[in-house]
Amino acid sequence: MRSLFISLSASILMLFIQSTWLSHGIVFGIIPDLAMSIVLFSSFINKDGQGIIVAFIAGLIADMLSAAPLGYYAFLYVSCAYLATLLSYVAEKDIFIIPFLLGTGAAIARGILTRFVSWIFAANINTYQIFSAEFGIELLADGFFTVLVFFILTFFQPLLENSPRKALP
Amino acid sequence: MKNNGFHRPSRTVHRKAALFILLSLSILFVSTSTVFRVPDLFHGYVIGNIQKAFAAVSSFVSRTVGAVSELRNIKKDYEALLAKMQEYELKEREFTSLIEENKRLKDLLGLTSFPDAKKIAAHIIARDPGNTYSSFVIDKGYNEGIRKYMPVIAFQDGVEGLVGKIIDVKASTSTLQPLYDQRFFAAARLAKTRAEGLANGRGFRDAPMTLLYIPKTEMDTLKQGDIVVTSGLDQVFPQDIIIGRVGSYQLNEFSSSLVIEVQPAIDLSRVEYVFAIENQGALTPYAGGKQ
Repeated sequence: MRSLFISLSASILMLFIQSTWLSHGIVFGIIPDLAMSIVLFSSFINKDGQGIIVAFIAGLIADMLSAAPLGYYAFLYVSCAYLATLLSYVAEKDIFIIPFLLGTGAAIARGILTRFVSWIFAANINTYQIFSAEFGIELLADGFFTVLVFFILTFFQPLLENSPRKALP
Repeated sequence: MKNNGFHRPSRTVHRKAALFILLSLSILFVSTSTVFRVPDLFHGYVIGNIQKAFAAVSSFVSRTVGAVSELRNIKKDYEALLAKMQEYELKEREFTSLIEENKRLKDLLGLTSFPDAKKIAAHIIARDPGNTYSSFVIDKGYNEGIRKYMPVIAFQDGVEGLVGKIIDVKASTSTLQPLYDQRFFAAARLAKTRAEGLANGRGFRDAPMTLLYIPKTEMDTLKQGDIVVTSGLDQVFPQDIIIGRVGSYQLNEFSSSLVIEVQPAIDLSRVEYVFAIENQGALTPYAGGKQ
């Protein structure tokens, strides 16, 4: 429960930072999704699916900060968190490749899922333009910033890990 | 990457994911059908005030850092300003008397109720945390007179240009949809020939807008740099607000209209303050209502 609360607080803090201090973007006006990076980290290290709960609540907060309809970011975050949890069963965390793949993979998943959401709920749904230069920049930015976030969060991993209590002898 | 010694994900993980995906989609379904809205207390006050606090911290830090560097120049400027101040004091006296005279003359001519639209100045405090949606949050809301669908303009380098429109109003903050948003549309026309079309954003701040439905007969007279303004036909934006200038344009095969790229007049990466205009001509279903 404590790890869930800490992960959630960190991702919500990132959402506010993204919408205020990083509002002009890092490269060509593109904002890296730092909150998503934290959700991915939490999902990857907690194989019991705790990251999915973090993703859902953080997604709802993102929806409130955004002009997007409620549930839009929640759906995107939960889907990416689920993929990250699944990946944690077949891969081990390293310093670069896995975080980079998670960051870029989550961006590609978002790109595809927004098309899916737009197809189901036509009204008020914006989509990624997957073949645009801006999406390419976002892909790379998310990849590199996820590497950075994973590197920093590794030092705080015990706080974010939902380790079950050890059984008494 | 190792691939040995890993377990399969438990059913709980799949169930959890399925539950929350379904829950998200259900919320999305309900919210896009506008059946449910986030309670105003949380959405309007809590979120808005947190964003204001973040903006204030950011502003404080940048001001503090700026102040340290400015201290170096202050002494130098002080002497020069002292001399200028005396000069300005004289001018101020002259200016005050001119204002009074001007007021008197206006009263005489009956021009005190100048029919200019009311403009509400606002500071941009936040923007959308993601990249698919591109809304801005401004620090003025319903309490300050902001209403849904108010047009928003800004002044930059001596040009008054369109910034977007208000799409959501809370008590003390509002959400502004900038003109580069994918879902932004404005009835527009070419200032020179008065040919009418529809301006649409492309979703990215640095990408030009698209002006659609300009007849291909305009191709002979169209030039790069031509000004594009609002036509007022959508009853949201007053007419003749500058949107931008024509960049490139093309005529697609078998099409009767041109596709024109428009470079916005206002560089939104540099805008800090905007003005919401009270558009009395706007007759929209929600105009004037609290959202």
